[in-house]
Amino acid sequence: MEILALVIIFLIAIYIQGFLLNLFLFYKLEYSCDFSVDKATEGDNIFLEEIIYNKKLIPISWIKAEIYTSKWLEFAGKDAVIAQESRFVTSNFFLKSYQKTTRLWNVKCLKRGCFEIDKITLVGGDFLGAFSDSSAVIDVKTDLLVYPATIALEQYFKPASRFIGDAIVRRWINDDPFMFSGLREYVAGDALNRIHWKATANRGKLMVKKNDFTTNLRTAVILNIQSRDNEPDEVIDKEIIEFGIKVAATIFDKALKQGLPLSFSTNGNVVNGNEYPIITKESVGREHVNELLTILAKLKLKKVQDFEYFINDVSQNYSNTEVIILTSYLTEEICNTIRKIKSGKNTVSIMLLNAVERESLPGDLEVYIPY
Amino acid sequence: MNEKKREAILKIMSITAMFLCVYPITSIVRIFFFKEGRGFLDGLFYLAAIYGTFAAVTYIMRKDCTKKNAILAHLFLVIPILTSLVYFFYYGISSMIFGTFITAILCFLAIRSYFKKYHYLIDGVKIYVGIVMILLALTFSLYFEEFKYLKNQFYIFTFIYAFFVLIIKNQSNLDGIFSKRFDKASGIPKRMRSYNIRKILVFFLLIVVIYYFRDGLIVTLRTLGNLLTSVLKSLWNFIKIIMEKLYWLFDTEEINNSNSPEMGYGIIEGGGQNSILNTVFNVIFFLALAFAVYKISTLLIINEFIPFLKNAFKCIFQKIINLFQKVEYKEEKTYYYTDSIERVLPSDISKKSKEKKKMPDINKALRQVEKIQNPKEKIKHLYGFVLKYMYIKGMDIKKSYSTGEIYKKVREIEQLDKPFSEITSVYDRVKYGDKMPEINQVDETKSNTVKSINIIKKTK
Repeated sequence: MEILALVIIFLIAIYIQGFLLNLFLFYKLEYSCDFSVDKATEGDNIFLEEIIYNKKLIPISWIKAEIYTSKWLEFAGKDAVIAQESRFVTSNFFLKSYQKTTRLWNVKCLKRGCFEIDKITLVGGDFLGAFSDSSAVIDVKTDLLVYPATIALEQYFKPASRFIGDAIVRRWINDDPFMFSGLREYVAGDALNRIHWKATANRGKLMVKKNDFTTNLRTAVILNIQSRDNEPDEVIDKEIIEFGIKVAATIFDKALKQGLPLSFSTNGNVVNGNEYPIITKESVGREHVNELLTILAKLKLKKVQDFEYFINDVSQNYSNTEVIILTSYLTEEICNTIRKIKSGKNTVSIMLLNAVERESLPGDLEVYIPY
Repeated sequence: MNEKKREAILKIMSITAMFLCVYPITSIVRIFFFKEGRGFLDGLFYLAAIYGTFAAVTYIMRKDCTKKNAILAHLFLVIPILTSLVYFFYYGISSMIFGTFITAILCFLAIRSYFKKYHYLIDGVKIYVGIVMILLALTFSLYFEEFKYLKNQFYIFTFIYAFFVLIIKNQSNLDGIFSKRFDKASGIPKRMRSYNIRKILVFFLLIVVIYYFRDGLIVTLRTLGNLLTSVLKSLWNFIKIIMEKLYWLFDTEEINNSNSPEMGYGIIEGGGQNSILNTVFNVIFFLALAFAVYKISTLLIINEFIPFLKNAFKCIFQKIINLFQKVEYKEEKTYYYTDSIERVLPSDISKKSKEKKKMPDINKALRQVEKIQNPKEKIKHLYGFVLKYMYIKGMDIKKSYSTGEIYKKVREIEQLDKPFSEITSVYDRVKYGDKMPEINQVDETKSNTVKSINIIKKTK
């Protein structure tokens, strides 16, 4: 009887611990997972915050959260499992009664994009591995928008022709391109950094700096999402286009700093967007630039219209505008359309994203090529 | 403890567990065949041989094949085995053959365990074989007079074996869960192993206590069973009475009269002769009884008794929790993440005073910040000040909330989102990213703090 009692006590105890720990594993257990910020810029270090709170007396011997996200959010280093475009990380915890653990993962944003952690599953069990259970899928729904990084244009581009390049270099690559030509009264839409405070104090009304006609141009950025002519929908040379996106972001940033009205067009579209090219309205200010950066962040590497047709369609939209075209190749048709744009009192600068033979470039157009 | 040491300790435990289940049955066999009872002395020689073999293999398998290692390996291997053989030979050749055979098996398993995982000897079928062996030996020691003196020894062996098995099972379970290719990410949290071992120890002690007081437990269970039976019996009797009353209520006079004419069915004696009056009385009685049952069950049991029990239990429970409450807050940093661990008891347990506090002064806080030299501390101070202000203002800010949680709450307040998100971002970088803030970041944080405080001031 004694031996039987011993065996029964052991068996019952093992069963009860497993049964209880499993039965109450997810009872009064709170879990959340969130990025520390909603928006970041490529290269930024942010945090992914996991909070797990065991609001009961029964402890949890082990529990793990399985996190799937993009491989472009770097965390857990070599211990993460990377497969194609996704990163799989398990986050392991043990919880005493009424214990709350807040885990902050160091996350580095490797690439621009719109990233999300949608669902997470928790798996836990007892002390002896006799029982284990997984929770229902938990909706965490946390999003992170990573804006593209800006670059130093002067380090990446040189004018294809020195004679025509200098002026543009001064305007777009150097930081201080404007010629100050006088003062005028403030009108709605003028950027705050153009206010001349001394003159404002002198005259008792808001005065802004007046610039030359040439520098007062509106700015339009056209991005060709295709890396090659006649390429299928999906981009082949992704790195080149990613570089183009960074260049666009840099131009947006400069335009914001200089208070220029800005518009953006591309023959691509954003994630979860429709199947039409993007053509934004012209506007000025931080909010507008943020919207444009959001578009860049969400941009899919897939064309929705061939660039030759696209640039032809948008060519009528510009007058008295500085048009900056970011493309990785030029064809005769594209050059003809650009000439048409130029003839409409516009200044056109072409920034070639891919290295090409200098001789093959059109001599009558202002082209910048990468170093 | 590093991984190698842990593995070695677990392997030694595993070998010892193997010895603990093999030794009792060999003792029984030895006594049965050779009529010798030498207590635990045999066991000690077996143990020395096993540990010696294990140590020798460890030295042999070392990468640096020095002379010293070779000598140590030989010493560990030869001395215990030779001593054992001499000892067994002292009791005769058959005793020596038997002892050598058992030692050889045990040493072979010890060598195997060196090359295998630590749970190799206590895994799958081996664990059941071990349990059967140890229980068999225990049974012999309990029911055969000549082995009875071994009973206590075998009991101790059984419990030690069980403890080792539990520990090894627990640790191998953790390894199994977290060492798979897709599950290795954050590794096993630093203190998870020790925590599990502590819990296993508590669990084991609980089993020992239950076993020790098994008689008392049986009596308690029997009493509980009897109590339950009597409650069920009374309930059954009560239902029986109700059913009988219901039966009478809907019973017809003819049938009643034909079956037992002399019986009265009314509540009031003698009223049974008048069937209509009888029925009316019965209906009234039944309704009154139903009403009483309903009232007792709802008012007394559901509304009074259950909440009373619930509150009493909660109160006792909270007192117990408070008794063990420790102010725990720990931060554990690994290369990839930082863990903030704290004990958060339910809010109603908290005994924090709810006195009205004076609103802190922002100018005073800024002056204090100026005095602080370390920019990191400046940021922490400013963040802490905003939190304190929000808390005194009556916002739901708790010490246990993470920066993310606080930010989510703050986002609900109009205009506070931007300045507070910037403060939080800098604070996170400083606190968890261990970054030194730049001077302009400190200035921005100051201005954001002022902005935040002004916005909070305006909120109701």
